[in-house]
Amino acid sequence: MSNATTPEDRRDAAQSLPFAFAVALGLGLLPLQDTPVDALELAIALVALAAVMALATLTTLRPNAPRWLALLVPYAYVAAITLLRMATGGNRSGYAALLYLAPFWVALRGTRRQVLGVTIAMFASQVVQTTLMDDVANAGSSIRGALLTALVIGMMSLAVQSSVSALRAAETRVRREADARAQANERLEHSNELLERSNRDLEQFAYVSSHDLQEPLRMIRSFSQLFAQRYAQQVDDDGRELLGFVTDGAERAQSLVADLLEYSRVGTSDRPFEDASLGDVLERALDVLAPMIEESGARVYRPDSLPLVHGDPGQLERLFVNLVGNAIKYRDPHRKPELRIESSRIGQSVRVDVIDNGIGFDDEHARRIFLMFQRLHAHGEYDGNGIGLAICARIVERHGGRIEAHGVPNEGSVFSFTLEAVAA
Amino acid sequence: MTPLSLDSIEILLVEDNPGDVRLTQEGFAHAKLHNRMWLAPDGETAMRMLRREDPFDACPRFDLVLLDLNLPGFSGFDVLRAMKHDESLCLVPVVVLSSSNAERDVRASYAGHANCFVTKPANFEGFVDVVHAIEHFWTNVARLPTHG
Repeated sequence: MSNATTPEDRRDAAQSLPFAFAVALGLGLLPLQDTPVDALELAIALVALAAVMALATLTTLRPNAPRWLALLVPYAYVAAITLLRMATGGNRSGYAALLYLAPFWVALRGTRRQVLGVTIAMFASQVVQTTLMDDVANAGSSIRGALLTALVIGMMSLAVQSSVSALRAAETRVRREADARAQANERLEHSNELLERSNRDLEQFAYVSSHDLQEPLRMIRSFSQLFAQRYAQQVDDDGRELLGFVTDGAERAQSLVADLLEYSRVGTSDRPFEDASLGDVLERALDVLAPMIEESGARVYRPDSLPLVHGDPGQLERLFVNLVGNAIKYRDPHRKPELRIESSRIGQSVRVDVIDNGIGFDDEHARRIFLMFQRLHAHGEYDGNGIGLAICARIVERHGGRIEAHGVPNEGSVFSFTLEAVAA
Repeated sequence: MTPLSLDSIEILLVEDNPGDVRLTQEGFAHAKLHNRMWLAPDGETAMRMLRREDPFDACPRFDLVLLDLNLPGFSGFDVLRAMKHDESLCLVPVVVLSSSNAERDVRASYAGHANCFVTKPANFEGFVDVVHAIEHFWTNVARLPTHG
């Protein structure tokens, strides 16, 4: 209820204060049209009204206001009326009407307890006023009239209070829901930001570490080679074998680090996308792979034309190099490697399939295949470090497309990806 | 700081990594070249050697600088900038040698008027080949400015 004050509540209360004063002043002047304005009376009425209103408002403005301050509201009301009576020599004052505004104000700004208190105080003061101070002859009708006035005003302020409470409760509920939503949004944004930052940090870490790792690996490999060249005759077979492990290990670590570096670069690249000819991209990729294609005797079937796509040509070339390179690498030793590249248009996107007749794989590994360092074959059987397809997935992901793989063991596999087409 | 071989052009190698210094020396030895190679272990020493300041007044006028980018303190880029802003040094060709092949390093090097950018090869044979190629190009193919 009114205890649940929000900053908006407080602002409302503060802003409506001067307005209430203006209205009160106008209303208070009404019964005085034919009598001269008594400045003292007006001043006392305004101050008294202000005191009651301020007390009621204060307890709302400051939820932590002392309890006695809230209880003081009806007493202040009685005191204000009494003060006015005394100042005007017990005569019925025109400005006393001003004080009838207090219950409404309290109803708007105060607690239910305060409204009840003020209402009771109003009844009491009316009774006291009419019985003790008014002309005894008119006492009967005065008491009735005064009680009636007090009753009407009291009921009205109670009604105002309950509707205000209901309104305020509804408002609070709506506001709370909005707050909760805003908070949830904020939390989401915050965690998103954290995630983005941690991703960036991770990429930066991968970049820096792989970059810095290249240096010592280059040393190990170069000097173990130099050592082998110069001293191979002075060590026995066992020594040469051990040295071979050093060189091989360094070489593998180098390729791993180079691929990691490339993987991290896919994410950190800030090269803007352009309209790229997929045909040209594939052409360049096949040029890169020419020695491998020739050595394996692979036959590559490709479409006469490929569409324009929206993307980074360098990364798309890498995508083709990795996929076509994989298709040749995982060839079945018992048959001539054949691979087909096909493309089809699906709505706004282009789908490309790279189909091979290689060793294939079990479809249940289809998802795992794109994860970093996941290999389906033992070292030695097929070379590789398990980053190539992770790089592919990352490139396609960065282009807003999808990549998937299907395989049949000993028959072949299909790698498909989608890219955003450039509208013709 | 010490002449490493005899004859022909004077080369200044700016390199802090002893391994790379050795590899470059081995590369030169392997390629049986006769140029003199001097060594500056950091960027500041390189600038003082190039300007032949005390105690490097015995240094020759260098014909070619092999510059590693990743130097402690005064970096390779700082050396490149200082050289290209120095009237007496801006004509000396600079070959940037880097273990990085990061696009931004390549771009920054050429933007700083490096004469070429070479990524240090990952193995010994590659290194020998590159040193040989650099030597061959700058001594036999390219025409260098004569010292005024």
